Amino acid sequence: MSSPSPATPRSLQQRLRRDRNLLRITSSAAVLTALSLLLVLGFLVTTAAPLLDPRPSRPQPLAEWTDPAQGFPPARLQFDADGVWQADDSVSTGGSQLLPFGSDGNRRCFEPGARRWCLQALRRGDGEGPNNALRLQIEGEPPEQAELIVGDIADWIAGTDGRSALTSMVDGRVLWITAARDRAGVLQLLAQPALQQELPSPVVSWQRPDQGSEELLALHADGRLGLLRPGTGSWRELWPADAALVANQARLYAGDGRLARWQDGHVRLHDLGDATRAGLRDLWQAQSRPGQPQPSQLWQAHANAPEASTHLNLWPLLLGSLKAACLGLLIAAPLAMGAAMHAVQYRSGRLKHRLKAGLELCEAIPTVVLGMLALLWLAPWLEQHLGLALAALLGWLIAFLWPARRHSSELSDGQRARGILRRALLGLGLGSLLGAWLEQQLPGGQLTLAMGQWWGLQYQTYNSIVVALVVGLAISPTLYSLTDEALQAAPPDWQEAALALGASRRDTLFGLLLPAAAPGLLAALLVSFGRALGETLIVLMVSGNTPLTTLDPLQGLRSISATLVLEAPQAVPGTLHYQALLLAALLLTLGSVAMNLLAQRWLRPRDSA
Amino acid sequence: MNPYPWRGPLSRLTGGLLVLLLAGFLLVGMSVLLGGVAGLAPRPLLQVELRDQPPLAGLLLQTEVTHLDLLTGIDAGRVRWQRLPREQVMSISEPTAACAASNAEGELLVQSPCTADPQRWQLAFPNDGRWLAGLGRWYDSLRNFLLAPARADGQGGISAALVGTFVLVLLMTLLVLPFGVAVGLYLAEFAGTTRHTRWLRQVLAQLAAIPSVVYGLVGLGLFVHGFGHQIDQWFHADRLPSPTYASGGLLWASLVLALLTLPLVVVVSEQGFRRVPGGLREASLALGATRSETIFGVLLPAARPALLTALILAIARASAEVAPLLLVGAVRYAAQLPISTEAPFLHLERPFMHLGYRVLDLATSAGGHTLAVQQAFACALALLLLVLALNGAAIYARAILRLRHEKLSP
Repeated sequence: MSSPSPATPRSLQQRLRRDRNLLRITSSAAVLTALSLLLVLGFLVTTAAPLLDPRPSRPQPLAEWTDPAQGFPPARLQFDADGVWQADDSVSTGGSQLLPFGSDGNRRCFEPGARRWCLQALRRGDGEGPNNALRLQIEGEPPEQAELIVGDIADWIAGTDGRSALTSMVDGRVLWITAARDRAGVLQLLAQPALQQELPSPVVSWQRPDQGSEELLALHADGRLGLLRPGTGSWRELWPADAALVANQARLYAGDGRLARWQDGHVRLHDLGDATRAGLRDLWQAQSRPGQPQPSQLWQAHANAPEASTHLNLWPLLLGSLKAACLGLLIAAPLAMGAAMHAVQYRSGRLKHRLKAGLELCEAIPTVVLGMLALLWLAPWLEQHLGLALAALLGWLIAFLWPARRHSSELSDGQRARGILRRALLGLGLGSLLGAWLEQQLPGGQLTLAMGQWWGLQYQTYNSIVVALVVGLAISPTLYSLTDEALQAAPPDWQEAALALGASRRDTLFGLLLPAAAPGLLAALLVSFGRALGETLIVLMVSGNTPLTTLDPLQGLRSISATLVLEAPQAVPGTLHYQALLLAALLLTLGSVAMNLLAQRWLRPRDSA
Repeated sequence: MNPYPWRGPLSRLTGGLLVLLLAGFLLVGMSVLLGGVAGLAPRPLLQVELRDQPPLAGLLLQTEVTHLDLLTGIDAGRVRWQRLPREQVMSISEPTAACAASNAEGELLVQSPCTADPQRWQLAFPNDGRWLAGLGRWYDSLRNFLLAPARADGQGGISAALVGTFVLVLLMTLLVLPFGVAVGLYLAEFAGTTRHTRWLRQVLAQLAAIPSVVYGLVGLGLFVHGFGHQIDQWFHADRLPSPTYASGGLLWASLVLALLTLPLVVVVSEQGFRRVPGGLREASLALGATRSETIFGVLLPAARPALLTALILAIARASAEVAPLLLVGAVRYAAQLPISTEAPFLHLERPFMHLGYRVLDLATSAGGHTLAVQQAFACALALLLLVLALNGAAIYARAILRLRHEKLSP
């Protein structure tokens, strides 16, 4: 080996260093890519994590003080902004005020609008004793009043909506009193059990952990402290039984998310913190609402009226997403898979290729355009001409089931294409003409109106069928090309060979084509389903966005994706609403990724073959 | 002979489904095209005689069986329009002496007979019937649609939305292209097939499967509320509590779109590198070039059409995507463009207007307002043309790629 010139080795080293640098740069880009999935999933999981934590936390001790001056419990406890205990009435601003249990007063008034609602507990009937009735008075024009005798009341607290109240009875029951109007419009009070479980001992006193919070702190007869969520009717113990509280030697105070226990001038302050927050189960349980005797599942993130309350139940959203995706797939599967099955028989590779390229171009159509068309044109049109559309579809079906003169295998590509075009035009044209005439004869001139008259069906303009049609159209190009690929799994040569070897067509179908194509077809369906789950804009624009728990396709829906778009910008990070939204997004992501993983699993045998 | 076992009715029925699918997309395309063109079409100036009311001059927005919609002018950014029930209309005429005049603020005055002061008001639509003038009016309304400034009520021209879309996509490209091509290069040239690369491929497949709205949520929660908040505290503490980067803006939106299009860019560019014939690579290495020299001297030039395809597909995907932008900074009306002639020229923190968002906004807030519906269709047409043109370009680039490889491979 001849000795190289002195410049060459150094320059070779430099050149090789560039190699190494390039490797370093590209591999670190690859690592960052892998990290980005971790970033997305990690963000969703960590932000929704407080909801996923199954262990309820207990009140955390914050501070302790001794107040030597006072030998009796004060009317309220006050702390300044730094948490330093203050004597009565010395806090000006920025402090917190803790009130003793049962200090709600005997009469509470709210002014949600022009009128004033007042709830009051009183004693009715003979004899002395605790209050046994509640009265709701509406002051204003016209004045109204309703009263209900419920039994001996231990303590009661008015709901945040101003027209409901929670009462604990001396006999241990907890009742939810709600105001409602009967058929005649007369105001009345209704009582329903507020809890789904038996309490260990009767509640003697209520207090809110925070002003305006829905959940309530309940002090029981044996001195234990519970947390009650009126919406879901669930109860949880926060603090074990306490003899000093029963003997009235100690007193509990609450407010501003804090809890304090006073005993002989000694104050222990606790932070309620996470102890009062909702858990995962609360997002799925049916909730009672004032005025509705049956508990229902409801998503209502913003109270749309002053007296309404918020409810966060993920079930209607999940159901809406699944409904839109399933119905969309129900439309897309026959449409796209049938079309691909037909196109695969064409001999001309160019025709096949053009069809595929054309539909790939259609896949790129922005979904906002499809949504706009459905919103402005398709949905109102369908409401007026549902009969025409159904008749056209029927005409189309008849046209294609009409027997042919010549066997399809004798036809060339061009003859076949012209044939199906002729049939489609004839069927759709005659069907729609007939449908238009028939619809004229119906009462109201519209099938949707006639449906209401005959069967009492309420047709909503923006319903799940319109959503399904448009989502189905949006995902069908994907489904088409995936089906096309799946059907290539057993190429025509193999099938011709099988036929030549004497296999019947049935054997070819079940023995060769289906086993080869089935995993691909299933994977195509799964991938399209995942795509439909994540579809946002069409659902946002066309579905009406009402969170419902019905499977009725004539009703609207509200999907997770549309809810994210509508509510996430306004949601405040750290609140239950925000976390619930992130949990919904996590569910959506996991659903789509699971579909994708399953599809890959099904596809793998073909890949390795 | 047709080897596929579906024949007779099944074959015809699947053929019918193919027709239905194609007809569906044809219907979508045609209605957007016709609706968009009709939405932009110049409207005749009408003089309407009304029962019990003084006569009215206005631009015809829409005729229906039961009513006419007439635009009678625009002042102070508010569109004045009237719905006239047919039974009130005595007669409709199209007087040649009518005109629609607009002033510098984009306000519109409709008059018959025309008395607009040419000093302040420029005549936009003189109403005479000759077709050349009609064509001029068409051009005028198209120019108005493209160039007129956007207005706070969601009406006005689309120029700001176009600029917003363009700047957003450009930024996204700058972020995603080098990164995605580097990953594609790693997968094609350096990685081989080890367990790690299988993992990486899995990760890319799952990234592609995550719904776009989730990316938007990550952008909102992590970028805007997380990073943006930090950046504000470090660099823009003087402006707190009003947010600078802690609210949706151009930077976060382009980052989200970059994340969204990353799998696409990686997969397409990797395929491009793999399709370069092995002989070229081996010849270069045999001649003594190092790996990096082979990559920069041979592979990258040979794979250029593939990279172009990746670029165009990413742009097409990004400009069609609206859902994540709703969460990270697309707004109905932005007073300022994200680019300006003052330093730093590109304002990464500003919210921006976007063509797709405009379609959504106009369509959902139309509520029977004919002008908004027509504008929505026109915007949709513009968006559709943009996206389809980009995808068509990608298909063309891929065709070039195929041709080149046929030439290169022996």
